[in-house]
Amino acid sequence: MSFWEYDLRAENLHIGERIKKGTFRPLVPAINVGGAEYRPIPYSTAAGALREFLGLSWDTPVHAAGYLTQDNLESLVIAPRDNVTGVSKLPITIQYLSQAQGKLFVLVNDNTQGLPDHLEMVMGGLRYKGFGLCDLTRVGTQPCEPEPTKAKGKLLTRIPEDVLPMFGIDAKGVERDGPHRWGYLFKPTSATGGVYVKSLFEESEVKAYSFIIGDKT
Amino acid sequence: MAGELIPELHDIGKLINNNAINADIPGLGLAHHYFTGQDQTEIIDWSRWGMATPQTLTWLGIIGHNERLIGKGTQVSTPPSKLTQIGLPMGRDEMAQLLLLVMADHLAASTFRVVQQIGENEESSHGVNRSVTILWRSSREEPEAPLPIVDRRGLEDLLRWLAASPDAAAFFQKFQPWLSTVPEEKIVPRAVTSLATHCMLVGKFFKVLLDSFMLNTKKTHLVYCGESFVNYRDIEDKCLFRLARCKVTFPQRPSRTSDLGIFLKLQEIMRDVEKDDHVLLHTLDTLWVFLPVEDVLPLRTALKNFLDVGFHIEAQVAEAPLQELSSNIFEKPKEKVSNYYLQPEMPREFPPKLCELCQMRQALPEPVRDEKSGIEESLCETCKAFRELAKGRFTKLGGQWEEMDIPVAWVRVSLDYNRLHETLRRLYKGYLERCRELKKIEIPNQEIQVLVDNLRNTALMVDFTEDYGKLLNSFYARLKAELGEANIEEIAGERPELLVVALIKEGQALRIADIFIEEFSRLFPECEKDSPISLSISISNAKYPFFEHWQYLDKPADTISIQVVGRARLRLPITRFRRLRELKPEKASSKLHRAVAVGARTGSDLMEKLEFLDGLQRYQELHRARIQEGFSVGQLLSYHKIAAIGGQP
Repeated sequence: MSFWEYDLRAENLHIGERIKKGTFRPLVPAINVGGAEYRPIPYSTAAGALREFLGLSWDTPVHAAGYLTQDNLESLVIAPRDNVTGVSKLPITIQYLSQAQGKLFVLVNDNTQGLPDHLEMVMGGLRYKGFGLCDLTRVGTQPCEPEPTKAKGKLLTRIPEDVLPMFGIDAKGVERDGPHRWGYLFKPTSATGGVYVKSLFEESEVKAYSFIIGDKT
Repeated sequence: MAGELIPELHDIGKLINNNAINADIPGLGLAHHYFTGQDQTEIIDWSRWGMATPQTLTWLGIIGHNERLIGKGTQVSTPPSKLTQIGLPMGRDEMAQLLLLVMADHLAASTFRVVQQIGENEESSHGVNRSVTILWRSSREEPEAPLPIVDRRGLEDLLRWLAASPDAAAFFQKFQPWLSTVPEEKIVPRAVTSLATHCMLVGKFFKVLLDSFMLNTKKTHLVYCGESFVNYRDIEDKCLFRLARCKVTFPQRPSRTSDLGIFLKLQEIMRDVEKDDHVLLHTLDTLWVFLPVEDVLPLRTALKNFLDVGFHIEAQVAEAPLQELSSNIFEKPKEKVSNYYLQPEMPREFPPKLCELCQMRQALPEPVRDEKSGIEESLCETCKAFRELAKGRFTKLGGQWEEMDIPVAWVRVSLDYNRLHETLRRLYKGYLERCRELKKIEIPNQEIQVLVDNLRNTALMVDFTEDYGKLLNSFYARLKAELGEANIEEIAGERPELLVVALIKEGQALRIADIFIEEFSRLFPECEKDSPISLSISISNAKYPFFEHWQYLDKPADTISIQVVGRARLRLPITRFRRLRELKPEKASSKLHRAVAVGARTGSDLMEKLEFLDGLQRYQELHRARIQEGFSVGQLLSYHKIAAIGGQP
């Protein structure tokens, strides 16, 4: 199993949570691990964006996840219009990130082995406002092979339960109660629909490939 | 034998002034709180003195939890003859309870409080304190605590009262004034825990042990986790128990006022768990629990009340034999401590929609509509229930304050138990050094450090938490009196750890901090420089999303942390904040703004200082605050911005 490692840069990026109170859309929160700040790029966001970039269908296996290491938190107010009536709804305050930098790791398989060393793809929300254009530069010419001995530390991203092994996480190891944070990510089950699947969230203490964990022991 | 064993009463003999009683009843020779003579094994025959002995199991506990009668090797099947001879019917069931009481007393007295005994004759070498020394107020000389039972009549009344099988509540109610001032142990190095806390802890430990152990069918052994034990030496050495410190969190990002029902629920559960014998101490969002191992009582079951309504729990769980289990186990090598993040049971998948508030559950099919704004939200049953709970509450915050658009201050008081551990070590060291200066102990520096390193502080933490509760109440009472009850909204029900105050006048935000400091200094004068308790204030208009405040309030940057969202941040220890208030630096906003701007533009502290000094002769206090007292330009600017907040825009 090997991964492409990409350096990610984006002028404006929105990786958000559900809208609150109908008027406020926050970002995925940042976490502090070992004194450094990280913000997860969830598997669902990264894999979805890559599939779209590669022109693949919803069920094509693409596995990717990452995190941001630098960003500026900003917000803007928009007043979207109702598509039917054309009337503006209540203004929504949206948080976004400017000057974001981070890492994205893509599992090398038949669908991703030909990924270029430099690519531009669109990721996250608010695309119609011009957000989400990400500049990805590959680190190295060869895919990185995770070391066989996994490291223990804090997960820096969000990964669905059923693909944990792809990132070196033993699904059985997170079955029992432990310092594991669970939540839900969206998983497409058709071109237009999907389900929410149980997923391991950032700050969970796991044994995994070292590139997706921080505060390693 | 009448009644059940009420463990809280086991040390009631410590409320008797033996000297006064012996003077009133010549020849009695009462010497110990076990109601024995000098040698600690001769139980006084009260019938000889015209008094009836209570025929209750509690009385057996009072006289029987005596280490000279019940030793580490004493077996369930062989009750000590000194106890059987006094005519109390004593079967193996009673003996088993007595052993559990002795263990609970050990746990509360030796394992969960300050340091082990040093040497055989501590009393002669260390002296005694007849009043409990409260470490966080220890600079004040406490007068000798009076004892309530001082003559024959008082003793007769006590024995009659005990014969009527009083319960623990009656005991605490009757003796509270004395219980909080009498030390559990009067020898100087250990005279820092109140008898009230000790009795409460023994009660809790006993009931947990009673639930965890059972007698075998022949009633010769106590059984725990399928293993049999005959005496308490083996139990203390071999039986694993757990101490868990838990922080309760929630996945919601509350935005609407009505979503603050989360805190009402949290406070309600915390109030209920207080009665749970497993819970040793708690604040609004933290609790410490004493538990048997997972096989006997799973952690999830113990914390079910929280998980059932959707709270998450971060728990550090230490597991060790009873005699090694103490709060400082968390500071020892990590092998004995496991970390857990407990969440309610979660399905593997579900179809849309996802609850917008918690993002942890499927939303109800029908969206929830807000009548006022007409906005519809997809919420799960749990989040909807929190909203229902808040119906009719928070009417000021969600009503007139929003409409008037006045600034509000979210006020959070919190207690950090990690810092408390270090604070207690520092305070204890200071206490020992003071006792040495006063010739109450003769002890070299090296030994003081050993005592500090071995400090076992759970009982102290319980006492500290109780005083923290008093601080919350007095702070809240002062706020109501000075700022008006109509201008305050309680968010966490009966626990004033989270409040919202409408700032109707300029300067009120700083006044809130002043009031906090005044009350804090009354109860915790020794913690001013290094406080595990903090006050955080976050100011904005009433509509600003609560969760943004919470992120600031939940991780206090210093003892006093104040922010005006998007405009100013000030964080200072108590002593520095008080000094800044005393200085009353003149308002010179444009000068301060300019200096900050020059500093930011040039990245030079010197340039910032030069800009600041230019024409400063008109602002003497401002000059002193910056140059002599070392407050930064940024701090002074934030101070004035915070001071200027208040009233309608």
